[in-house]
Amino acid sequence: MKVISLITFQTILVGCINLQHVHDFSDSSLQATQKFEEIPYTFLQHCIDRCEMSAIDSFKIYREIKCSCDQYKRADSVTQLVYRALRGYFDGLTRLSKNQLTNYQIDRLKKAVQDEDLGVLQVNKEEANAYATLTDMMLRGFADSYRQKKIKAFISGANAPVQVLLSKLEFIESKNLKDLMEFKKERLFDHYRSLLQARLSDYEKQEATAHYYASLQGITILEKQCITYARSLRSIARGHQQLYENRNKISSEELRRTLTPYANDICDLISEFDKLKNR
Amino acid sequence: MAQLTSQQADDLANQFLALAQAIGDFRYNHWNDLSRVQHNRLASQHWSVLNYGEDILALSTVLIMDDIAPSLASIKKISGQIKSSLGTLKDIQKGIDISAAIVTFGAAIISKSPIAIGEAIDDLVQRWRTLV
Repeated sequence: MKVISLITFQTILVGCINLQHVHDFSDSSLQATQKFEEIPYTFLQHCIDRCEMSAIDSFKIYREIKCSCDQYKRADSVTQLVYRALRGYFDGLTRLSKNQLTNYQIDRLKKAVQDEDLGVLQVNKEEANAYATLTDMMLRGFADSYRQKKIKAFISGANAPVQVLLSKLEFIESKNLKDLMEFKKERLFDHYRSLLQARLSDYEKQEATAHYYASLQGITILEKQCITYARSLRSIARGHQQLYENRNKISSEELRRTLTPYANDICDLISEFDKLKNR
Repeated sequence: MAQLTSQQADDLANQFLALAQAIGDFRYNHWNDLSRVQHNRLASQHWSVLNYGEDILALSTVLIMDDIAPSLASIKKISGQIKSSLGTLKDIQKGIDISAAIVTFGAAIISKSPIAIGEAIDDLVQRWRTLV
């Protein structure tokens, strides 16, 4: 009896590995990374917009407008590759760190050994419950320690490439895509500034000016979305670095305290992004 | 010639934007002094310089590919390994279910009930199929 108690106690200790904070951070990171899909602007879209703007500016009407956008399509492909790689990694880490993953259902097994038709093999309800509890704990202990070992190894191997990919995606969003919008603003400014030099009524000039500011507002919101998204990527990178540096004490309270601000920061940025999207 | 980095390309694009803005401002500030031909030429040059800057930004993004190829390969490999670990953990549940089905099958044989044996075989086969 003492031996069983000792085994049970040890198993409980092993089975208490809580990776909830890793899961919370990873889940927030996944959600924030996926906001990429909600940014309604791509390199190709910019190319098409500029092509149309040029046609509008020169009063050119085509049955079908032809725009040369190959380089822009390639830029989108590279961005997609980086995004998908990051999404795949955080998706896997989120699922692997979920505590419920190792909550195995052993009711069927318990019922099977209790079956009345089992004859000589039959065990009573009390014994079946005891075996089931022990089995559950041992399974959980094995699975959780396997899970912890694996997560530690994955975080260790993934940190360097994750940092590179996050910084590149951040660069694309906060520099390249955002700077493209600066070009768009300049084109818009030039178009309306020139238009207002033409002979227009005061009403037409006011209408044109109102259109200009409405378009400018739209671009500014897009810019803010890109910047907010880039900030969330920076927070993810910092949080992952903490995870990497503390990988040897992955289920510790200290790591939970370290990671929580990053997860909170990412959640705040997600909410900021959503507010911009709904403006 | 040394290859342009994505950061250098981005800096260059911003120089093009500044140049384009200067051309646009020059045209606007001399609006009444310029002939129609001069206007058209400056307007065209203004937008061409903008085009170059934008094309460089797209190129800057494409150039990133050179820097990320090894990182992409590493992350894809690790993501595959994570999937495999998830599979291992889920297979444990399948193993438990199979064990339960085997015990039930054994009990059915002991009971010598043809109906129970038939049902237990069906259940065992079905659960086995989820494993393979």
